[in-house]
Amino acid sequence: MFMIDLGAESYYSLLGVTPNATAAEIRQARDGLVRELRERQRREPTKRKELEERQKVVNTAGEELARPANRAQYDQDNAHLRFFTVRNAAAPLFADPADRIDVLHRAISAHLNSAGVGIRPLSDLDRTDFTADQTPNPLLDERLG
Amino acid sequence: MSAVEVERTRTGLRDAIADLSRMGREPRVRLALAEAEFRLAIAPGTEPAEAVELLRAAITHDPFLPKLYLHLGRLLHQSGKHLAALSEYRQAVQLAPSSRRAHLLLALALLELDKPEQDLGQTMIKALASGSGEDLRAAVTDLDALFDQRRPGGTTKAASAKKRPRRALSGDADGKPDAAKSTDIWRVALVEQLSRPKPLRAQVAAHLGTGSAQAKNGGGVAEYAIACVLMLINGDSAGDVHKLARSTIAPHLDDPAVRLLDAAIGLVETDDPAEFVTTVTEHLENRVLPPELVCWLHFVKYGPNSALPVADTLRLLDAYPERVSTLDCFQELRLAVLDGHARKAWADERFDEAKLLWRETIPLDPYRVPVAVNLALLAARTKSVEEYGPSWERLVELLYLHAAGAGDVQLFLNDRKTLHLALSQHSRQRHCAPATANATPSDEEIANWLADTDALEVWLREWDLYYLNARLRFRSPTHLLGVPLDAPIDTLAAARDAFVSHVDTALRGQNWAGIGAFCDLAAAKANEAFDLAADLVERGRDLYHELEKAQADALADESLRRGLLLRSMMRVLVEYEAARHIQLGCSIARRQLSLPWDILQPICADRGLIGHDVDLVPIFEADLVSLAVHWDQPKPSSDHEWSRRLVALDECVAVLPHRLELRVLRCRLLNDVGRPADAYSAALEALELPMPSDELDPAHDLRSNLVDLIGAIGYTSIPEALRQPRDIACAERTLVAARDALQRFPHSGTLRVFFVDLLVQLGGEARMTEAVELLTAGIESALNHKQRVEFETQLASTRGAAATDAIRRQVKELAEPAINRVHEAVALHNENPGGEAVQATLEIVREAQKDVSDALTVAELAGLADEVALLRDTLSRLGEIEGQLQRRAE
Repeated sequence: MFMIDLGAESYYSLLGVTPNATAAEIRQARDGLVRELRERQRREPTKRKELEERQKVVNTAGEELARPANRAQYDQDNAHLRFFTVRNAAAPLFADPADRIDVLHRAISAHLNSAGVGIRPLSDLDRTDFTADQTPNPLLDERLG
Repeated sequence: MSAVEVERTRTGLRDAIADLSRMGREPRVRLALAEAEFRLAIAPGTEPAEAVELLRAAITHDPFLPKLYLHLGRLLHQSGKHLAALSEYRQAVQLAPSSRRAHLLLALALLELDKPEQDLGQTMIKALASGSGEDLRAAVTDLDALFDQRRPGGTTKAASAKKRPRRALSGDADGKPDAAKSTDIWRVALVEQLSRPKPLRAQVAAHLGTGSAQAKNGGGVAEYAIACVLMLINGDSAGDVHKLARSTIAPHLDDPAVRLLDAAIGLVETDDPAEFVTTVTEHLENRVLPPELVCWLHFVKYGPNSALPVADTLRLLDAYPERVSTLDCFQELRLAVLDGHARKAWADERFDEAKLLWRETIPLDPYRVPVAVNLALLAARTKSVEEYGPSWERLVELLYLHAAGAGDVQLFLNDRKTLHLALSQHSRQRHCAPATANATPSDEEIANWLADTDALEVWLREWDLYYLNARLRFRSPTHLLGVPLDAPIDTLAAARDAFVSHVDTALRGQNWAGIGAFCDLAAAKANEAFDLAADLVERGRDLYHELEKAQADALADESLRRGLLLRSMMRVLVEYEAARHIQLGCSIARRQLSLPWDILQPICADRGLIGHDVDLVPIFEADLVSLAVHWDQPKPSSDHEWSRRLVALDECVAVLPHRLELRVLRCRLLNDVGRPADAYSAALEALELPMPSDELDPAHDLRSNLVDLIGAIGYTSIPEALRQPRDIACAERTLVAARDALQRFPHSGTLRVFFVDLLVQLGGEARMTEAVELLTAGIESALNHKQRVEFETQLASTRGAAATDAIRRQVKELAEPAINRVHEAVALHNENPGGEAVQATLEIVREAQKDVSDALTVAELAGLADEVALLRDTLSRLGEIEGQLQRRAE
């Protein structure tokens, strides 16, 4: 039976970063790994060749992902890497700080409005009464009586 | 306003619009119309879609009224069309450059877009909050520059806008921004700051300072209390928020907003969970706090990031009374807690626990897509054979169901596109080097991939679904249909039909809830695209064609690589020359033929892959035929294997119903497997396909094959033992069998000819008549010209035989009775030989001689050689008998 292999290595997993990592985080991860591999080469001379190969792979991965155009192509060719990550299933109130502020602000405003407090809308997006925007027009107003 | 008053107002406005519309086009009428349409648009009870149309109409009557653009933008903004809203707000700002309302809405719309736009939005809000008109103008200029960069060949409209008269929006002053009124913005600015991942403390403090000052002056106490609550939500400690609030709003403890803040602080400071639950319940019952806020506070204190074990967090949720726990936001709270703990369990590789927790969320919301994603990933991670299939199916089903339910194919479209692409890439990478996805797999990779039918089927299916969703994403009608901009109408129609057919083939048969509705929506989109593209004026106005051209070209490129790879696969399968690959070949062929070769063929030709006069589709069809001819290799050895081969050929015919070769193969298989009646019907059905006009077309030979097959089926339905009757009795039984067979297989030419031959051989008037009737009927129902000629020729000879037969009977009727009388007379004479008996016998012999002579004459005239010889012999013997009798008489 065909099953996706979540264990398959990608440039991201190689560097130990998520597919959403910024370029700075990617470079930092690459530099850290390269440093570590060089130290290991000094400590373990018998494994030098293997570690050098690994370092090359890490450098390639880092180079590819640090360049926006290359990274975009890599992401396009490996769409599964972004998709196959566990998601936050909670409602925006619990999951997203920006949405949370917005949701709670609206909820609190609505709650207080229903208590007769009369909270001024933040913007026209929160208003429903625009009567004040009407402009007197004699030709129209005489027809409306 | 009551509902009655609302309706009266709307009716009055409609009547006024109708009245004004009849009055001509002078400016005062146009301005009145615009105002009427505006008032109706903003009236309570007007649906957003109607309001948008009214405002657009109002703009045509008064294109220089800023409030029309502002409200149009607002409606578009509220329906999620932020880019479109931006354009309208920009117009409003153009016409009323000192309008804070317009700038604020513009900034809020920018915050909904991508990073560069969000940065500009934040700058605008900051400028509004600080009251700096210069900063605001600079931000708007930067916005125009950003749009100019993105618009192909566009130029800024600022120069032409300066010529328009500027009219203020209500409540705005011309000139410098009102310093007092800029304090309104502090709340928007504060919310915007707190919505950032890292709010700037200095900015936050400044906005709070503005709010505090306003509250101390007596206005805006509630607004400041709310701001303090937002700080609590943002993570400030209860103590810090208390300090913020104390001096400003402490004197207003009776204010509901202040009581709300106080209650929220109290909850944050509560340590005992049970007390927390009790207090929350009281506050909700007394309507002190909104449910959403208490849910958030509960989540922070006792959610997945607290020290409480998961069992305890759930027990705490269960402690709320039912009237609280059944509130929507409490259901969401429970789901958030379960999900948070499940994700922690996943990270710690406690997969059973994660599965249990995610499954607990399903009764709360069975349609939550992220839960479906997580459960699918779990099944993949644990390699659970029994859960993998159902969980991924459920995920895909939900992605389509949501779109169907909302009546919008765009909903979750990116997720669908990405999922299908991801699965197809994953399948490909199992056997092909992932180094560059654009490289063509090697022959060895293709062979390995073909051997892994599970993985291959995933790639075949998922790429198709990715492709369909990628097409649906286009806003340009020509890109959606996959045709060039200058495509003629018949190409548009063919593309639309092909797309709808592709949707039906790939999706409609899936066993997913709501998939039928989704397919109908997709078909409607295709039809809408066709209608737009067919209208040359609309096609010329297609703003998205250039914008989406790069994506369309990339998709065409992917389609081409897919098509070429499919061809490579088919060639490998054909080389195997084995029946077991036919079904896979059908799958491949179906996908090949669903690609837009009208677009791809010219690309192939331009790249030198094929000649410009080569038509690829018949080549693909021929590949499938070449594969199908091996349907009997090796010969099936069991009923099950026969069935599989039949299913495979059924599929081939379904993919290419016009290819006679496949139908011939299928008929042969049906006959070989012992289903002659089905083979017969299938062959007749195949013969109903239109005949090629070119006489050299190989289809003519195929049709002859089918006619021969039909003939053979009918003939072989007669038991073998009866096919060569050796005596009359056997022949009679053969006639019965043949008659019965012809009832079942009336178009079998071979059977009909055999039957007629036997009838003629047996002779007799009735049989001759039947033979003629059979041949006459055969001529009328002949399957082809050759068969008709055969029947006509045989009819001619049968008629001749019938005539000869009649004469034979006449000869027999003349001769036989006479010969019998002679035999009887001779027998009597031999018993009683005497003079008188001799004379009587002699008379009879002489009469018989006369009759036989007459019969001989008839036989000689008719050329019946056998009868002539027999009759002469008979006459000779009668002569001898006469001689003997004469001697006795003497």
